[in-house]
Amino acid sequence: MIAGFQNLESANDGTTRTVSVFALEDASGATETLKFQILGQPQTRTVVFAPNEGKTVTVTHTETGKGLVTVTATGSSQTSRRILDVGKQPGDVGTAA
Amino acid sequence: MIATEGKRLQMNFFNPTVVSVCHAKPSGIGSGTPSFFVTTFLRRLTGLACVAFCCFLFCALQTQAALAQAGGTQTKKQGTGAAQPANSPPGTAPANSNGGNPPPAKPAKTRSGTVAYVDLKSQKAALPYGQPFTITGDTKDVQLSGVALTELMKAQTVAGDYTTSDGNKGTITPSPITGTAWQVSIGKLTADTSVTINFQFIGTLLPGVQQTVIGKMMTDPAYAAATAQFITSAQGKDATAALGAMTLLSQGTVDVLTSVLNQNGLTPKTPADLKSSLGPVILTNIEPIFNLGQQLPELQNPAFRIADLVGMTSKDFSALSAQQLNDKLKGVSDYSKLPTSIQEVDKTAVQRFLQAYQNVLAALDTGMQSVLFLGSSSLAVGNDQQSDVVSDLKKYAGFDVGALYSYRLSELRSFAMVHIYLGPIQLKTDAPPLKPGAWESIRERVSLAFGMALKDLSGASNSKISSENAFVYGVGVRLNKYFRLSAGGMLYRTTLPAVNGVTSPANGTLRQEVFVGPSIDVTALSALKSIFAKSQSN
Repeated sequence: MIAGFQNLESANDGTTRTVSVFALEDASGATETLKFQILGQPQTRTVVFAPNEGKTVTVTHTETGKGLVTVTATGSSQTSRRILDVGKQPGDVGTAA
Repeated sequence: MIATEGKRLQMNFFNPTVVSVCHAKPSGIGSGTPSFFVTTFLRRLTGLACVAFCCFLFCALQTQAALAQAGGTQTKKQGTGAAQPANSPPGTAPANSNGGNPPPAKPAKTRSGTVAYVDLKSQKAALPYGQPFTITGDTKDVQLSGVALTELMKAQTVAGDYTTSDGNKGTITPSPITGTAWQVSIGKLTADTSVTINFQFIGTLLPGVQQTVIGKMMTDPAYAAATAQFITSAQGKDATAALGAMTLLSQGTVDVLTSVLNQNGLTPKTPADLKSSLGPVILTNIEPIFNLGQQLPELQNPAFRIADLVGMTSKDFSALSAQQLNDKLKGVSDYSKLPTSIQEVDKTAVQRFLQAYQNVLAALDTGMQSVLFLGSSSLAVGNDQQSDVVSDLKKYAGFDVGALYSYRLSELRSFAMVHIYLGPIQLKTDAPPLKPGAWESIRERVSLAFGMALKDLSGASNSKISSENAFVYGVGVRLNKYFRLSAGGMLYRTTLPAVNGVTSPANGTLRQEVFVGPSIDVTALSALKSIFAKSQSN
């Protein structure tokens, strides 16, 4: 089960737009399904976690502009939310915090 | 002998002991030996009372003269005080007032026309009535919702208003604040009323306030509700649709900020100014504001062990506010205490939180710095029951009606008396003394009394008082605002019954008796209280 998320952020290198989050697994270890909601676009990733393992999970998307980005994990109460400008280029204010 | 006695009575009625012994018998008051001694004792007591009364009268006149002199001296001092420039800081004595010596420990509050704000706040001041006066203070002494004004704003002007219990309202003219010292002028107040004074300090917020505001905003239920509403509205929406939700969140945030400022005793001088100033800034910076609130629980998630960085337990760490978290984390540089797998993640998370916090601070600073705020300090400074806020009406004299009892005549008679005080006094016996000292409380209760005993109330069939009229004199002691106990002598012309067809030679002579009796001060009643009263308390 996912024990927590950290550092939900977006990136845009001019070609690919991505959203990533650091997910930390608890002591059980399992295959986790992470659901991203990037503004109006949903994305789902399945990731295998070892016990207490932390991984940065990244998804690509085609959204642009500023809006709400959410990530949840199936079977976990943990959620991470940010307002992100997912179309901004690196170095632009608002892509990290 | 009786005839001689009568002459002595007429000539020496202030010393009746000389003549009283034999006179008692024909008047039938007592005929046995015990009655003889009782009568003698009472006569001598009457004489002593007369002597005491004369001494008292003399002392009273002396005291009044002294008081008048003291009052004159004080008036001169007030004149010196009045020469102080209106805008000079309170407590700054005029250059020539005391030759550079330290100022007196404490000015008389109600007599100098100046009341100290700290005394007002602690309800130690009795506000003067009947004339305008000044309240002086220091912004350091002003508390807004438990926080010193100086910690919230740089006050530039003080203004306000006041409402009295008799329905009068007044405005406090805005006055500039010099440094931290301020003073305001209050108009005439009515005696024996309570007053609520609302001070308004106008100035700009200090930078530190933003931190307090952020901390309170993040935990404010209204902000949590606005955030939840935003999440519901913006979830799954594209940027265009999300903009409306973000605008709503911004407006909600401004409302929460205004509410948080209000809770701290701060209100925008012009609410529209705050909205127009803060609204666009919040909308522009809604991203770090919202994200800061989201980062808090993630940082405090025990799984990431960030509490270890600051040597706290997870429980204590999770209770920290945004401001406290910022204070704790901004000095952290060593992440080696953490497991290698999360060191970089935690470092990034902490840095982003600190950056978001600074961004929010900057946003609030930008949005608030141009807006003038009012720091409202309301003082409901008591009422008649709680404290003497406005001084009670100071009276020179009172007019009483009551009943007196004369033991020797065995009569209860109505009387009307004028009670003359030894200088102006407050009628309320629980009011703070106008001047310090034990004598002052005595002076405010004791009065000299003169008047007339009018009519028998006890149903005596043959009163010895000719034409029912008698002159009464003595001393009164106020028991409370309305009631008084009086004692003294009663002078009257006798009407003695004929014994065996023989009229007593004492018939028609002046005599006196001791009396005691309660009375009510009719000039203490609301409709009549201005009678014999000072128009001003000073």
